[in-house]
Amino acid sequence: MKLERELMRGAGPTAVLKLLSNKEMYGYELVEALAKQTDGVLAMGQSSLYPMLYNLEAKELIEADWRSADNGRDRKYYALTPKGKKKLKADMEAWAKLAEAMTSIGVLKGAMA
Amino acid sequence: MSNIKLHQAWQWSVEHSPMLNLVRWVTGITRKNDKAFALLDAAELPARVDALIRQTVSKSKLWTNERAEIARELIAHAQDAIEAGRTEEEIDNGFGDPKRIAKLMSRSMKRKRPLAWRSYRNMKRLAGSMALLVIVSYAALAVRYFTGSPSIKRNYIAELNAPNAVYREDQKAWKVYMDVELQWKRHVQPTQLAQKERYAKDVQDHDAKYTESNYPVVLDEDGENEYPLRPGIDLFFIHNDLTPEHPDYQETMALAKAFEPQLARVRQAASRPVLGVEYTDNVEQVEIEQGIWVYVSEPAAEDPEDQQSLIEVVLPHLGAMRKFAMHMVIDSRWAFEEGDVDRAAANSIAIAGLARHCMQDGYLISDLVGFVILDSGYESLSEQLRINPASLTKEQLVSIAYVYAIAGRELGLHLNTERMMFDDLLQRMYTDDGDGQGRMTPEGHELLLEVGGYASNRRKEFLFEDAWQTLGQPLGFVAGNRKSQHDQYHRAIDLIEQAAQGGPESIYLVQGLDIQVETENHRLDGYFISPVGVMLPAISHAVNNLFQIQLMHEGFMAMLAIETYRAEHGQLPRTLEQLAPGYLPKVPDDPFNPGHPMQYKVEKGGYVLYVAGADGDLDGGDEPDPEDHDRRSFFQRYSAKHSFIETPLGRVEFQIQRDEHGRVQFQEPQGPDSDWVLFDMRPKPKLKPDSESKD
Repeated sequence: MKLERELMRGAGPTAVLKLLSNKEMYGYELVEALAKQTDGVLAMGQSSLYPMLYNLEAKELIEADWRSADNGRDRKYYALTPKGKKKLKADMEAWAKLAEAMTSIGVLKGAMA
Repeated sequence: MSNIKLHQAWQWSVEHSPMLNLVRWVTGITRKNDKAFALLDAAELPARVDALIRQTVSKSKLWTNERAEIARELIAHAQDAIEAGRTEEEIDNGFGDPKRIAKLMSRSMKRKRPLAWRSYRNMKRLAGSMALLVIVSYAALAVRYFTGSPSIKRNYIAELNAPNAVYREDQKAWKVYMDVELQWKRHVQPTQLAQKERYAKDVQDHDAKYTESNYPVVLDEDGENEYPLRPGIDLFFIHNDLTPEHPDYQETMALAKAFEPQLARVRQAASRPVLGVEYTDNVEQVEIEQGIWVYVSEPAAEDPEDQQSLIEVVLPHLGAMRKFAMHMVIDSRWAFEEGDVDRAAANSIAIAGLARHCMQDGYLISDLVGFVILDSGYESLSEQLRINPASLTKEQLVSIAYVYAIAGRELGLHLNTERMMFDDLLQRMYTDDGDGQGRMTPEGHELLLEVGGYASNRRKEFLFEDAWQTLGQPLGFVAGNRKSQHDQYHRAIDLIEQAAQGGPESIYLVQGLDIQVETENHRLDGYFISPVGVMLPAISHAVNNLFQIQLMHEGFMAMLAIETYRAEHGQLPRTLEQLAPGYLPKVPDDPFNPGHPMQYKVEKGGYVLYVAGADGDLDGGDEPDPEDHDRRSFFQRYSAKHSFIETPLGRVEFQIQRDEHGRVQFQEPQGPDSDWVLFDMRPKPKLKPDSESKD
């Protein structure tokens, strides 16, 4: 299942920030992780991912660095900045509240349902 | 992390140093993709993937380095995918549309650009939006302007003619004047033209030289006498300077005598109640004989749409009336010499009538012609009375005083027709929104240029300025709007009338206005043109002329009172006070010496009437040196205690001073240390100093 564009626009950046909070990652790695860990729900191609990464970079939520990988090739690694960490924290709280609200009106199935 | 950031900042500043930027800019224009394609060449990706990345890079609208960055990232991505076991086809399918990716990546990449670049881009966008707004607004105004047209509703020519409708034909003088003018053209002008031709030949045959008074002169056949090189009739009418030795003397005098019956018709017409001109725009000049042109007029069209503007109404009667007055001045001199005092008195009375008729016209120019005619009447009669003090009877003097008193009541500035002329122009230039408001129209602008004398030569000369004017018209700042123009003009005319009625002390009102008119005309020379600027006359000279003629009039009435007293008592009065109220309603004031009366000095069997003149003090009736000064003082020297005056066209600052009693003081320079002698009635034996010696 794929998310609608508007939902993806809200969820995508938070998901990327969350993945980067665990470790630095390069582009392809992020694509794979999003596809696998979300069961394809938040899967996005390079046409969506790289513009999103550049936007997050422009907002100084993440920063990038070209480095030589183990296989000898250059890869661009993305990492969370302190500002990005704060943003992720705020986003996660917002998502929790949203989930709670969605649950309370029965959109999401939770403990109360 | 902060080290990385510092490194990036340093790297960016090196990469964007001005010199490098210049090199990059030059090479970037021609080889934007080189760097990215070199990376792709080195990566050796499968052909389809390579082509997709090349397309994406090529379609992105980014700097060279940014294109390389995108290529590098997409290459790494593709290599990772291949390493993970993806097939070429899978990568191809998952890539998406290169054009769309290029667009998205370009947009987000630009967000990473430095703040300075983004501010510059935002400013450009803002400027662009504003320019667009301006263009769209201007286009809307232009459409509104070029689709506007004036609606001509009021028939001003009919309104101008309406007051005459109540008079019978035999109460109107105009037609008689015009007919006499026609007779003059028929019977006098051919001789004048022949004389002119003779003089053109004289210039070739004689060595013309110039006299002190700047006339070219030639010697007569004996080589003894000089005569001015002008046709006799010109000298007779224009300069009143025709001497017996002039070769045209006999012919001109005979012609003038032969014209006497026509002059009698003018005398009769001058006593009629009104001038009664039938104003019309429909006037043509027709050549009745070779070189002789007359005005032929037809009534104006009934529909004002079919009429020309009121400004096209010509006033040929003014020139004719001025000529008749000159003829009568000369005829009076002959009449006195011949002892025909009745004819001389009749001429004097007719001159007052001609002046009165002129001042009924309602045009500023007609008033000024009226002043000149009246003035010639004062001069002429006073000169004759000085030479022959007892020549007129008491009854004749009283009759003359009566008609001059009536003409004097008309003395003023009559600007009603000027107002109508302006309003007519407005209705032909502006749209009519029904509430006095309206905007300039293209036809109106053409008319304005025509009226302003812009239409012909200057138009070509100032092509750029006219283009500017044309572009500026829809914005309305070139010609203002109808209401503001109307209000400005009428307030200015109100001010002129207020000054004219207020007397000498209020002349400062129009001096301020003059400055504004000059300013407005200066604007006219540049990019701006407005009906007010074109139509508002520089007025302070006219107001000055009015005050001068009013003072001359008071002096003339006092002179007539003195002469009447003399005719009754056989001697001159000792003071002017003796004359009031029996012979004169009151002793006139001296406007140059507030609080004091006009001065009267009995001397050598005659007398002098005078005022203080521009220096504001009395000098015993001494006249200024005519070489250096006008005999008549200018009222412009007046100043009053105002530091500024608000004119309809704006505020003007200047100095006006009063003394401790609040009386107006004169500004330095005060004018010549002498008085203005209104009438010098001390006897002199002959008309002209030069004819004395010959007799």
